[in-house]
Amino acid sequence: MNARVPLLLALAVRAAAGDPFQASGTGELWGYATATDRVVELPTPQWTGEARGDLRLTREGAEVVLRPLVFEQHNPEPFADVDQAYLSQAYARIQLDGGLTFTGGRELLTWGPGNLRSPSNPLYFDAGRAEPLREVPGVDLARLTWTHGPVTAMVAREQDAGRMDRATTPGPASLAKLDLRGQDSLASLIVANQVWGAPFYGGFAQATLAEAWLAYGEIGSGQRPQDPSRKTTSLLGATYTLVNGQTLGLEWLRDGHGAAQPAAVAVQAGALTGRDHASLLWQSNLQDSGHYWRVMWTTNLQDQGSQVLAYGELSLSRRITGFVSVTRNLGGEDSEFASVFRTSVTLGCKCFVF
Amino acid sequence: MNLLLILSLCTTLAAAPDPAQLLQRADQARGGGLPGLVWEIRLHNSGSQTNEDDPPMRLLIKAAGEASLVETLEPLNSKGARMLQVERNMWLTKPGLKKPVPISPRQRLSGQAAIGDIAATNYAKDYSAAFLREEAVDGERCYLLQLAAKTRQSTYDRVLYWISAERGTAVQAEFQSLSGKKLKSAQFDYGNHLEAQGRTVPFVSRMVISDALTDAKTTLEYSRIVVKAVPASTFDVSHLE
Repeated sequence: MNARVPLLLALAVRAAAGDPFQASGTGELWGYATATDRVVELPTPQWTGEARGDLRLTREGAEVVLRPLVFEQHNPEPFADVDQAYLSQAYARIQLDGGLTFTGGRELLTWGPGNLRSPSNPLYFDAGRAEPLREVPGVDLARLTWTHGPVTAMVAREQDAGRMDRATTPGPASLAKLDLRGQDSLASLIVANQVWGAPFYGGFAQATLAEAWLAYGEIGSGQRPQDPSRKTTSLLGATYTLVNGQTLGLEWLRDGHGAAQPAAVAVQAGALTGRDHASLLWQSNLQDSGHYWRVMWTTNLQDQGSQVLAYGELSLSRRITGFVSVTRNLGGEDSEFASVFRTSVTLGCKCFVF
Repeated sequence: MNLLLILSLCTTLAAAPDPAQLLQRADQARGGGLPGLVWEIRLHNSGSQTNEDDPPMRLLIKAAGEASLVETLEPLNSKGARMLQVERNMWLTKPGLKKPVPISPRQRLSGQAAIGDIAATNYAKDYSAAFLREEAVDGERCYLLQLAAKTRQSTYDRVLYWISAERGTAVQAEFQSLSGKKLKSAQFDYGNHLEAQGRTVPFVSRMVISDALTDAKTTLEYSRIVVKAVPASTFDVSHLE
């Protein structure tokens, strides 16, 4: 963690000192195995154990959040095992006078309605929302938010990419964000300075069109480390909620930085390197506590390759939930998806400790 | 004869209660018109299609004006999930999600409960009311009001609302679609009391929601009610993590 951020965290905690804090939180143990029908060299099978915590200390007007993570993964030869223990997020938040809120520390600074990718966010273009098991760590930052009625303004200074991949997450960078909320809509403008050497401009909007319909879009214009010229990336989407609470979603992503011939660039599992993608999502009611499932189909509109991801969770007891994730890549051997692996299956369980 | 008719009309008009005032008073006993409110709800589903092994939910609700934040405290496998509603905008987040998910108003909470059922009630603001008649509910004299949604923001298009003539609290509701089709009904108990604006007022302690077509029921039990201002930043989606 950048040296200035613990200092900001400590200052925020000290400023919040006064009434006693109340502790709350969740703790989960995960264990799962993944087998992959690989095309490129990927470790298989993988055996993974995780401990994820979400600890909160709260009192009137102040909150300290710690999200520690311990990650142990056993890989077959010649791949090395992975042992990690770190704070995925660790920040303090205090409410100041006049609708101001200060946050300092390591925080997951994501926004926008996009599921497949988030073009309006220069820090988290890929927030990992399409991958149910992936853990996404925060970045080290200080931010000030002002809320007044339907308007929210935020300025932030990202000091360090933290545990994010430095090849995809810029740092340091300064951001300003302005949100305007309507009765059934939200619009946001984002400006960031020095993202890969040039200013970034972005925005998103979402609207509730009827009781069951949501429509949204995100856009961003800037540079990327692998592509120093300015390009625009946009996403359009809509969701429809069925009477039983299940959701159907459709998204279209045009990544200006994407390659017209994805197989010509280095492929990486989980990364979208193509230019045009469309996805369909069908998922269970997010409010159901006994089970959760989702089926997502994503296609690369250039090479016609596609990926089907099915994920399901089922509560086995009050503390144990089993889960299974199956990914099937379709298309030619040189297509974006099928050039990495054909099939991947993950089976595991979560134990809710507290 | 004419004088008798006029006298009769005047008596009727004098007896007819003001629907807006009735709603305002009834709202207060369901959290409406207060500067801010924090409370807990224990939610339990029942009926032939319900798995009796399903644990009840315990929710923490913070509400102020048009905004409410619902946090799941139990069961363990849903703990930490939060649903934010600001006017007609809704977001959901839960541990493991990388950012809040915008959801449509159709997303139900659990069983028969909509977010509008558990949040503070502001029927006086959201509905136009007409007095229909007096009617007894379980032997208690009530005013029956017909409510029509003023905006699309309301949870239901139409509501039949029975308000106790003596206590001023709602005792029964029938929620209807725009065409008048009965969707579900609800009964209310008021075993809680809270201090508001210098006086003690009753507050809802139990709400039972029944589906119109099946035997499905959702019971909400209210506790730990505190009247206090909730900062606007609590309802800012950028703080929903």
